[in-house]
Amino acid sequence: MKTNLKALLFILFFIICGTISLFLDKETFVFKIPEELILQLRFSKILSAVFCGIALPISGFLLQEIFKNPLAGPSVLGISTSASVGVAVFVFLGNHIFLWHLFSDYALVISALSGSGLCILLLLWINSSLQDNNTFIIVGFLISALAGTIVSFLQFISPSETVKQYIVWNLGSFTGLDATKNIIFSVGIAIGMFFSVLSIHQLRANLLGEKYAISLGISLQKMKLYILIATGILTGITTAFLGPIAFIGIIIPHFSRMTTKTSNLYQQFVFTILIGISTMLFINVINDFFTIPINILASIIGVPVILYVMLKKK
Amino acid sequence: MKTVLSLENCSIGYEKPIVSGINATLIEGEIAVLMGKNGAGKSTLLQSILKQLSIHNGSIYIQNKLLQQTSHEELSREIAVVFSQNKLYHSMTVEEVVSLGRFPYKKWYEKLNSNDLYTIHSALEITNLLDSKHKNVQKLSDGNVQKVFIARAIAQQTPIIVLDEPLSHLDIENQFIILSIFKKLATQHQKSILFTSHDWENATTIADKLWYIKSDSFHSGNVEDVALERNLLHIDEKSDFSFNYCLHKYMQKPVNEENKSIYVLPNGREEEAYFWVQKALLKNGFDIQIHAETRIEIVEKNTYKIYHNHSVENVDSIEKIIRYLT
Repeated sequence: MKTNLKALLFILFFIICGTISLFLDKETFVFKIPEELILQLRFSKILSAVFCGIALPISGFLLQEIFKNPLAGPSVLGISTSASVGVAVFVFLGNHIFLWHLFSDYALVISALSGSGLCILLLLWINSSLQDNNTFIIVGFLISALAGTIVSFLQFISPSETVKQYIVWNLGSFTGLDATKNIIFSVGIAIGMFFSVLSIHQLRANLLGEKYAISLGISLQKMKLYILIATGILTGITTAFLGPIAFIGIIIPHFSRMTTKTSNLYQQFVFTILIGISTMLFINVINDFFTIPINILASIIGVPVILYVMLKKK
Repeated sequence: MKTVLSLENCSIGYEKPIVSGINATLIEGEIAVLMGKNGAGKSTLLQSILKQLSIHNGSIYIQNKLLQQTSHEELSREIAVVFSQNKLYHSMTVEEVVSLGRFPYKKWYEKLNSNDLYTIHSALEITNLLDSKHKNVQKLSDGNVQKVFIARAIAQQTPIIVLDEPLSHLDIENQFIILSIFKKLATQHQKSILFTSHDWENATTIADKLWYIKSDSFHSGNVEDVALERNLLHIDEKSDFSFNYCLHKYMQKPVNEENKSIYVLPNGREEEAYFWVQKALLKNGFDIQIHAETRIEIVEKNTYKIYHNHSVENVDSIEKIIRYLT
């Protein structure tokens, strides 16, 4: 099948999913234009799904390219877990800070971004003294484990109502974003995408490995900086608003590689976005009908796929 | 003659310098082979020249410009490289890999133009890969993968090409194919080539210049002069092997027992049989000496006469010669 046709099919698929989510009445199964308020809510949910379908797969795509490791993803390097720490600090300790509630919309984002930002600064600092990518991934695992412990500790010392609030966030959700949050979200995605596009040209030189990339005139430090900024912002902001959504960041780039079967990274980038949006809108449709949390749906789809990819590789 | 690469009093190494006092030059259209033991610092020297490792002392000049003042971007138009380990993460066709050679000349929004395509085409032509340009590189043989990466380096259109162990893991036929590509590049395209190798025999058949690292010091010059002066073929005294200058081969050292010395009468018409008989004798611990009492005459291939203890024995294979004598 031609690449353009495949792309068209994905676009068609996500338009269908989007239309179902927007206009299908859940009780009567008839398409109709709902009330303005419901339409707004549904639209906001779709917007969240679309942003998520862009942000996490792109992060995974960039990280898998740079580490040449099909199992790399935003969760593996501790970026999403660190963002979770930020959110946990916001949820558990936020009430104790004076005037916190006045800017809680921004505070949530700021705390998640500082979590992922801190993680990225740490990774960058380690990156300058480490040459080996495998060690780098192990360091990411360690950061992830440490962040998990911090979250557990915060849960341990907090009252049970806030713990419940945190757990609900932790399951992932596309709902609850108002216009302000959506604007912040889209600005974050735009900045993240800008750095992603910048890094793709350099990743092309990296196709044959880092030594070849240097010999083709690329600065590895700069390339890694761009990618870490991009993944930090994309993952941080998505985690802040929608919860730590697992697996999507790892599996979508795989699908993209399997569909395109090309080393053309620009094409893979576009397909990662198309497949990402399609998948998230599909999950959104299922979520409309069954109200199963996003993270559980993503795991039900994600785990078998990752297992399949690993076994097939052997 | 234009000097494209020169090293002045360089010390190379990671934390500590492993080789010091490196003075060498490479001129246009010249092939140099860099030799030395495992761990002697060959790859380290290549990395230093590629500016992927900083040098401790001295200076490196690329086209008369100091390497420290040359950016990686500028360097990518001066030196192309083929590393020893070539792994691909994506499945890529031969043409895709080769076209990456054009990367240094392209901005991120620019596509390959007809000039680039022509360069890629001629790189494939030189390496004889035109027929397999749409094949998947991961499915090619080791020899062809090596050719693909050499083609990629050619497509980078640099005056210097540096290769790390381009001949290792290749059978003899492919080694000669690669070597003749080097020769073609040097003579017809005026490229300067520097490559590392362990195989002195094949490497020196085409190399003009030898860069040689031996026990922390560096020597360079005409291949044969350096080889002669620095006992290139000499290996450790304690080793059971030594170089046999008659046979041009490393052989097991002969066991010095008197009854084991032997002489093979030269036969100009049966050079091949003469070679293999001597080789078999040396391998089985005989010493070849002109004054030996035991003699072997090669009448023709598979007809040998052994003169031993005043008697003559006719045998029809090398195996039987050895069996008779032991």
